Amino acid sequence: MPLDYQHSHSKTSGSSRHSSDVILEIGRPGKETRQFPAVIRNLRAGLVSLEVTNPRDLKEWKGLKGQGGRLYIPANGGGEPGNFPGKVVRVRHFARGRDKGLLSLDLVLGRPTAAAQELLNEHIPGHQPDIQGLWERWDQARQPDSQRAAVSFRLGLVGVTLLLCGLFINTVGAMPHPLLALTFCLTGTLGVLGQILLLWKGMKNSN
Amino acid sequence: MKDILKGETLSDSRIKLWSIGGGKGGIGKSVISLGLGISLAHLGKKVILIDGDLGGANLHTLMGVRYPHVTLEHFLLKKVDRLEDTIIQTQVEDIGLICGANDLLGAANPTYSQKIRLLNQIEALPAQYILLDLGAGTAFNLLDFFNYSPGRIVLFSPQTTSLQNAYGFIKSALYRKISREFSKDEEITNILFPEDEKGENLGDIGTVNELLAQVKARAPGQYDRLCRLLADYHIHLLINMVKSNADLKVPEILRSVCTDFLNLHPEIMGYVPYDPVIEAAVNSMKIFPWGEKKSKAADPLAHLALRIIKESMLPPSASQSQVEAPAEEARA
Repeated sequence: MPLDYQHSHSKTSGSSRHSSDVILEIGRPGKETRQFPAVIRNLRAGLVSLEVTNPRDLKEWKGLKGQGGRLYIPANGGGEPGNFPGKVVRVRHFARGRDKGLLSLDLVLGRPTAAAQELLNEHIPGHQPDIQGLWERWDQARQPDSQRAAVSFRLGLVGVTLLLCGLFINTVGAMPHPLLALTFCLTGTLGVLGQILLLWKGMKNSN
Repeated sequence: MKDILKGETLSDSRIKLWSIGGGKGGIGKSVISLGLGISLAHLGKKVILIDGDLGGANLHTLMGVRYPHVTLEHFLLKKVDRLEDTIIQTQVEDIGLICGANDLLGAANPTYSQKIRLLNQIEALPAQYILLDLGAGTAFNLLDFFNYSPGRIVLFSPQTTSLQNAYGFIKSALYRKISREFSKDEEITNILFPEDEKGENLGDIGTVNELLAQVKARAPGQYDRLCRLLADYHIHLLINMVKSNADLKVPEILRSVCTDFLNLHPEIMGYVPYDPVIEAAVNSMKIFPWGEKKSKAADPLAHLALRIIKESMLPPSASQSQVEAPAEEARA
């Protein structure tokens, strides 16, 4: 595993358990990938903030934004190692004296499982388990709303598609099938109504 | 409800003093203290409100008193012998007010003897309920007042910062309680405040479960005493400025974290909805809006007042005095 960047950042403040073992891989599938030893600085709702100290090739750091990434974390105890795909959504470079400085990156991981979240948390230097527990619960409490929004969106999309299919079959199709068209339209309408109901429930809850 | 309300004399309550703290500023500690006081007074109770914010007192301003002629400062400096003599009668019948000391250098940090003198006289005040409105932060004096009170309410808002501060406040208060309780035990002090060979502080112990494990290993004689302290340390959680149903999950989060990491079992007392009418009343220096257009917060506060009365009169339950083993031990 050749590293593009120096491995000189491992001495971080706090009790940096395993922090130097975290590897960030960036690159598109089928193209050249780069690997950085990184330190996890923050974690919230699937967004991981990372730091790479004294990176070597800095010329193209801005181009890292938007690229696919993957975070490799070694196993702790008897657990499984972590391998989290994601996408770089923010890159910032900070100059530090004569050093090459610090690269700060945000990687969106989607929705890591509870076990994955725990593994990531354990690699945050100097993390406090109770504060970690507090924010994990906070994230969990907010999840159902986003799940409902996703379900509502899909339901609406399916509903509208079915409705349009029904209308298409009834009017434009070479051989009109009124019963099939009616079934599509009814099912589509139910889907849209379901979405409206979910949205209304969501609004009621947030009020 | 009627049974709770009728026939209570000045000395009937098991819990007379209730502290309202919460760590963060601007979450409505003073407003809620006043609202609870008014609600208790409406239920026929004699109430005294004490502004425990010794550095930045403003409860009197909320009650329409611009120029308090006597404050805690007079008592602390022995210009007044009895705390009772600092009570100001207010616009609300059955509510007395003891104003906090303001703008006095050092008033925010009373000496040990001043503090003892104050605490000794608080319980003797002529009221059925005394509500102590604490200031923001986690200063030792503030934590001591909170810990001294038999009734403890931790107030917070749905904001993340408030949630974090409320947890920090509970943790600080608990650790302060433990360190005071075991101040003469060197072994426990060493566990609580670990130092390296050079005598430099290595930070706090972390979770209470870690503390229990270390005490069991290094000072087994004190283990039961520590478990009992934790079992007897009761707090009530109260969320203010609730704007949505989603906000009601916040007290559950706080309770769950306290249970898992501090070995405490706080009770969720209830919630008070956000009400712009209160903000308007505060800005115009009008007293809590109980008038014709009753505030949205009035009914929840009335329920909370009933809860306080009920809790104050209940004998300590068997479950409250039961010594609980830490979660790790229970699993083993």
